[in-house]
Amino acid sequence: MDVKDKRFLLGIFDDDHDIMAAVGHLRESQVEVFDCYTPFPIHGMDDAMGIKRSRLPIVTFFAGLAGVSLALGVQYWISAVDWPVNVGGKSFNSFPAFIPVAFELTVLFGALFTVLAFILRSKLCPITKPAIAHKRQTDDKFVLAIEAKDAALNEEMIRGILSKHHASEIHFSEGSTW
Amino acid sequence: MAGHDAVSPLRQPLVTKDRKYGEVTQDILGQIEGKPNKIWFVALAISSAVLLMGFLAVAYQIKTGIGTWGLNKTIGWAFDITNFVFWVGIGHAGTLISAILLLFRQKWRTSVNRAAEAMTIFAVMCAGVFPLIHMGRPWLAHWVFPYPNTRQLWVNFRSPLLWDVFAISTYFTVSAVFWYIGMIPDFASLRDRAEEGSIKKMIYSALSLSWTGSNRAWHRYEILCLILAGLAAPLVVSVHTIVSMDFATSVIPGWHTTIFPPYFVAGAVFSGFAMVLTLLIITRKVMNFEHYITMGHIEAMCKVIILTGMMVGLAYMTEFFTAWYSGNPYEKYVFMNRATGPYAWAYWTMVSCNVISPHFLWFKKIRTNLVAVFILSIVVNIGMWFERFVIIVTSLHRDYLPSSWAMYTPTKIEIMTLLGSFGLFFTMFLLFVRFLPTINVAEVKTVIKFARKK
Amino acid sequence: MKNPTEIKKAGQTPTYWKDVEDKFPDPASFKGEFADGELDRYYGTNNSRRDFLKLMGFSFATVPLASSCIRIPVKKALPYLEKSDQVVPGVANWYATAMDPSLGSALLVKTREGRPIKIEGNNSSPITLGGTSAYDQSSVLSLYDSSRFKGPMLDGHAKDWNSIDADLKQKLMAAVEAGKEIALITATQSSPSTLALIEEFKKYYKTTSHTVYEPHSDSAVIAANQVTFGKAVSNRYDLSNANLVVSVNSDFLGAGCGAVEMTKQYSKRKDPDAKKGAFKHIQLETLMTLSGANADVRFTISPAEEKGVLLNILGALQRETKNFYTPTGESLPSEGREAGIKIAEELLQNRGKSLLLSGSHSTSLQVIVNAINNLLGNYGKTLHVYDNPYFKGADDKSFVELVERMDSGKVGAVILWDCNPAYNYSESENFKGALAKVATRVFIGMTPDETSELTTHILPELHYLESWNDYFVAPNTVLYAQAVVRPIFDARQGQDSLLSLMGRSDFSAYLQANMDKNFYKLQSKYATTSGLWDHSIHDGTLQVNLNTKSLSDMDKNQVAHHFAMAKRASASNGFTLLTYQKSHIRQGRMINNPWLLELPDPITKATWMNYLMINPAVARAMGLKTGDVVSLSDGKFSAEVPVLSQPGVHKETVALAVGFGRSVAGKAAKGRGVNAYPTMRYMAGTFQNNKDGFSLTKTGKSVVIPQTQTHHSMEGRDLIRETTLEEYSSNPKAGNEEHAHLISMWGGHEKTGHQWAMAIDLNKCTGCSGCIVSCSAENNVPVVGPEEVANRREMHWIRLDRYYKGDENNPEVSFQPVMCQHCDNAPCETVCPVMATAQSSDGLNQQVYNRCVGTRYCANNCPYKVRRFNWFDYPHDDKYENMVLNPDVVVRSRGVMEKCSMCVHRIQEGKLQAKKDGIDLPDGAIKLACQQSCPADAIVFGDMNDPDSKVSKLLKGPRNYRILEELNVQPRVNYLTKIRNKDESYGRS
Repeated sequence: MDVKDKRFLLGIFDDDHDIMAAVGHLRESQVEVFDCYTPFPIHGMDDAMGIKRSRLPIVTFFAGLAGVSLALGVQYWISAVDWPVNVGGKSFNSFPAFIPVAFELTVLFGALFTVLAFILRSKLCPITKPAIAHKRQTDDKFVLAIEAKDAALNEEMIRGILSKHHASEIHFSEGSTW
Repeated sequence: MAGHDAVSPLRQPLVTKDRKYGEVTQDILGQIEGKPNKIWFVALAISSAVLLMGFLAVAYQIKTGIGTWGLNKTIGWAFDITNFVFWVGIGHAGTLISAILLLFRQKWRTSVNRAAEAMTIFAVMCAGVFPLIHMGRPWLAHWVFPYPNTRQLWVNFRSPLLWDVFAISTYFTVSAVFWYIGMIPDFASLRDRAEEGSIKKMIYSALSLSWTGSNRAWHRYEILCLILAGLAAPLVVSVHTIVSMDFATSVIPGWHTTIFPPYFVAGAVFSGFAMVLTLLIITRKVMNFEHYITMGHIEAMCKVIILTGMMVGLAYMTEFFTAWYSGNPYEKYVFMNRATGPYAWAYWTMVSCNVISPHFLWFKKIRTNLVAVFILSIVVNIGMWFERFVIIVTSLHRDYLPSSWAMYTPTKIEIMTLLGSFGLFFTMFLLFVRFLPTINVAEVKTVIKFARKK
Repeated sequence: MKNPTEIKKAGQTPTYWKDVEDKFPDPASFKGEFADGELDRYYGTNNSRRDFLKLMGFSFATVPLASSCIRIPVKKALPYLEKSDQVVPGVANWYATAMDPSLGSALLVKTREGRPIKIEGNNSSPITLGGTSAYDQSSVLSLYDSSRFKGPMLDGHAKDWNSIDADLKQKLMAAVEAGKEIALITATQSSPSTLALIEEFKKYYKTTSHTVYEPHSDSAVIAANQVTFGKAVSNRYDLSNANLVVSVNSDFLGAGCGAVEMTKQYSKRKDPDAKKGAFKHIQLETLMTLSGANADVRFTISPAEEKGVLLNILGALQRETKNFYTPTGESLPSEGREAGIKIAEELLQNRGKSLLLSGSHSTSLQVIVNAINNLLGNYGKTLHVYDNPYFKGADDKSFVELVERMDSGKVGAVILWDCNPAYNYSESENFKGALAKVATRVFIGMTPDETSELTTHILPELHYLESWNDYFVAPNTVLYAQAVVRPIFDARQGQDSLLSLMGRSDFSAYLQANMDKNFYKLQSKYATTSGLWDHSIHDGTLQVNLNTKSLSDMDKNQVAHHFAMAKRASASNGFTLLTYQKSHIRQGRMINNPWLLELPDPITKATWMNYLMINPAVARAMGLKTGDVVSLSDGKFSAEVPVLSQPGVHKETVALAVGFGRSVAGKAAKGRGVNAYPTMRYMAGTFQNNKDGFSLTKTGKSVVIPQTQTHHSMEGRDLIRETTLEEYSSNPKAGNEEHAHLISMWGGHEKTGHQWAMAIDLNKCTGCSGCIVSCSAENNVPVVGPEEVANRREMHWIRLDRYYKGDENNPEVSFQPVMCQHCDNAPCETVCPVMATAQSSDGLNQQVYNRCVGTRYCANNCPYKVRRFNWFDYPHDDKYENMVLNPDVVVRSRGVMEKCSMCVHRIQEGKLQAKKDGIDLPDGAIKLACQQSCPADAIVFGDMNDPDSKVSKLLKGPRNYRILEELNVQPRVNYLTKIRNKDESYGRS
């Protein structure tokens, strides 16, 4: 989600356990966590942040379905309808022989469309400038971002929670500067 | 996943030195930010020279004709398809490590999967070369794709060669995508480490697709990896199954065997892991990754080799039993001829390399002796190359009508082409270790605390 | 292009202008061909454009008539202004002609746009009945041999015909005046006109002598007939009346002249359902020949035993018949006694229905053979000696005497016509020495050779397809040879050379005059002489009732003398070297012929060279294996030659084929193999083909003998199903009981309309390999050369598998022609990724060359290994040889798979013809190339959907089976079981 026109309260952590704990604590105290930026996926973080389960598998399923039907359809049409040739005495529609190609296309479609969906959904793009809250968030820093409008409600308590969980620094930051 | 860092006396740390996150990043990415060392340059020089030689051999062959190979009216395939199957097989370990071990949540894979996947991709490239250049008219290779053309001609979907076309290209595409997806977070790290405005920065930020490490993205990212793994796992099995069908669906005794699919897949994993070992034993030394690619990894892979080696051995025995049990005279003859005929030397090389040599790895002493493991891994690869040679050549050279029986001997051109494919493989791999993160930094960070007290 | 000189360039065919002159030597004969005055312009220089066009019209009309052979480059091609009524572009013209019967047969020549491209048998010949040999088939390629003389030469310099003729006339006359002999040396002559011409030549040049020289021939038979019948003629055999044929070292099915005729009769006689009753062939031979390979009973005998057997047979017959030619109580040699007596008994049971043949080069033994056949009353029944006025056969004695005369300087001029003694006379050094002493040395021949090198006057000879000739083949058949193509090079038929030396010309006219003179009266079929000429030339054959009676009363008194001669035991030491003729190379006249050189020897399957055949056991004992080079020496002769370990060769004998080892020849033949002729020797009036006292010593060197088959055992697989005549008569299915029970997961496709199938009778096929050349010629199959054959990459679409069984000293041999089996469930089709090979609606397995990408998967997956891959771009750069290419069949490019197409273009042609005639395609109307040329009629092709077709009947028959039936590939090529008339009572000595 776009961060450019937003202002955030950031908590920077040095350890994955701390940021996990902090997120948990914040949500217990009804504070909406905007996002976390971490060098690696932290197990359980999605639950802690209450992220809805991704629907990528559905994409995969339908893409695969498309792949297999296309493969079987095309093979049947080519071999039995458009250009029926007596090859080795086999029937024009030699179904068993069509299975391998059908399988491969299922996998190919499934994989490619899922990746495509992932890239689109995560707004990944080679040319846009990445929104980096902290220079080392892809190295060894763990960044917890709370929208300033949420933070404003109870800033003291939030700062407290963050520092309680050993946030190395806590400060406001303009999304536009990321 | 760092939540699982259960401390137990039974578990060995996956990263044998206590490292902080920042240090990990530095250890791995620092390697490719600095200047390459001499060894690397020497290695690259050699491998690219060999690649060039292979290229010239192929150029000459394409200019002059397949006649420059040792094939004849009876033996239409030999080195070409042997090399093809060999390289496809090599590829399989990569996918197996990255996909199947991921599905089985094998944490130890994290520091080797990147290199293994890279190996997969380069191996498949090498494999792909051979079906192309083995054609009598390679400049018409595009005819094997079903595209609408003015002549209204289509391809023959009943031909295993066509299945190969789809299997190999799918396998290559999916592996490459999986590999790239895996590298995105590391590209992001590289991007953020590179100084502002440098070309490095531009390249890496393009490659990183503006990855920020947002946990919403991480969530999808992990799901995606699981899906890709779930697709790649059956794919890798299907690929070698289809390759084996080139032979299994034919009528030639020694080829026409239903045992081939499992037999080939086992063989592929077997040779693949051997090749991973060969590569990583060097890489960990040259790149000083001893703490990430540990003895534990090497031992684990040795164990896989013992297992698959025994599967392959079992397959050999089963083949003989079936030949005898079937009572088919042609089948019988082919297998007797393999063990006792003019190519017996090749057969017994295969058996001793693939069936006997892996059993040395039962001994921890040998398993933990890098030199021994390195040598054994190469022995296994030699053996697996010969397995394909034996299957292809000994079956063809004496089939149904004795009047057509013939012998095959490779020409210089063929040998140069085989070496050339190794040149290609190692050149690619050397470039990889220089310019791309050889170890999956993000994933390793999730396991550095494994089996380690805070 | 305004003036004639450029016009000539235009067509690049200076020859066709010359053709016009040839065709109409004097302007007078142009009357009617041209408008008045046109000729003067034609011969004059100042031509207007319209004259040029008219002439162009005329010349291009005459190009097809003259069938000028030089290809016209496409960029300069011009349309027929005046279309010839003879040549329809794209439609073949057929001409009847004949090859000298001592080499070949009555033939039909297929020409396309004027180029002869294919030889087929002439069915209207009562002698060869449409059969041809590999030799006949290949001869068309020699027409385009680029090593041929391009024009006459005098003392090594090109000269025009007129001046060389003038010079030669004057020299010959000088010789006559000096009372010196003019020696005319020719090959065997059976041409009435040529013989007459030679007689005239003798009269014109008084001191002329005519000698027939053949280096390796049946001169002993001729000599023997001279002795016993007073006629120097050769034998004619008739197997159709024979129940028993005993052949002693005679390869009558292979190298023997008349092999085609013999094979025709032989295969008919071998038909197990024949009304005439059982037929048995006993072969006693020293090396494995094609005839021996086909024999029902075969013995491997030493040269000593050969003699012994024959003498013992005669002895036994005399005792039995109480009819003594030799003094009673004459002792008989111990060698071969047993066999001799047994065979004699069997011969007696078949009096008048038996035949004894011998390939011996000893006159005495041939006399014995005559005596035996006479005692059996075979003369006039299975064996004929005709009082043939039109025959002058080989006379070794007279040649040797001639060389002596030359040496003593009595000879002023020698004319060598179609012979090469400097190469193939055993004492070639003596000959060369003697030749040097002759002032005028004339050479009449097609190509440069060892002899032409030594001559002063070279008069290039025409190929037989460019020549006119007639051949008298007793009984009462005349074959006519016509020129089917204008001379390619500036050459002249030998007969025309003789004529012009007598100041005359035009042998074809001479031929016609001769026909009128000799044969017009002897036939009643044609009323007018012109009708006689036209029809005889058209048919290529003429029947005349010249009462050449078959002689049967022989002069017995001579036998005793020759019996004694033959009995004189020659102490043999070391190896006996037998020089033999390969069945398709023969004496080597046509050795510079790539088709012949690449054709695998029917027995050894070796190509491109000769080698020393040696008994396998002996080879092993000496530590030799095929390809090892030994030095072969008897003190006088010595040569290094690779051995080939050959089952069925006698232990004391080694054998070397003649015709190879040429030092002066075209590029195909030059320096291939070793020359075996020097090992022959002149003895008792003939050139003997076996000499003892040879030693072999290993050289340690080794070569690869290019063989197309290197594994000789069938490994107990039932690829060739066979039985004995005995079992067959009780159970026709014998040997063919087992048939696979086949099930398929596929429904298969409808088989309506024509469904082509083939049946090959393994009992008839003798393995002669003529089909291979015929196929290669028909389908433009490339020649790949010895190195590639050694690499196992020969391209032949049909091959003859040859397997041995049993005792390696005397194995049972079986042949099996294998071409694409045109499977209904073809494994090759399924695996092709680009569908370059598929099944046609009439059941042919089709290969689509231009779709093929060359994965070779189809070849790998072919259980019969009949597919051939173009490993390289095989050269088609010889502008002359390319003219033999069949325009109906595409020339395949590099990287493409090819194989037998079942002559699909012939099938189409046949179907079209039937359509044009508005009839259903009659059975047998379509003949495939292999089938047409087969002298044994072993191949039957037709529509298996037609219940009355010959093939569908055979397919239903009890002998029918298919190779590798159990694979359920459903081949369309079927085989009929081989049936041997075995006789265990002989054992297998």
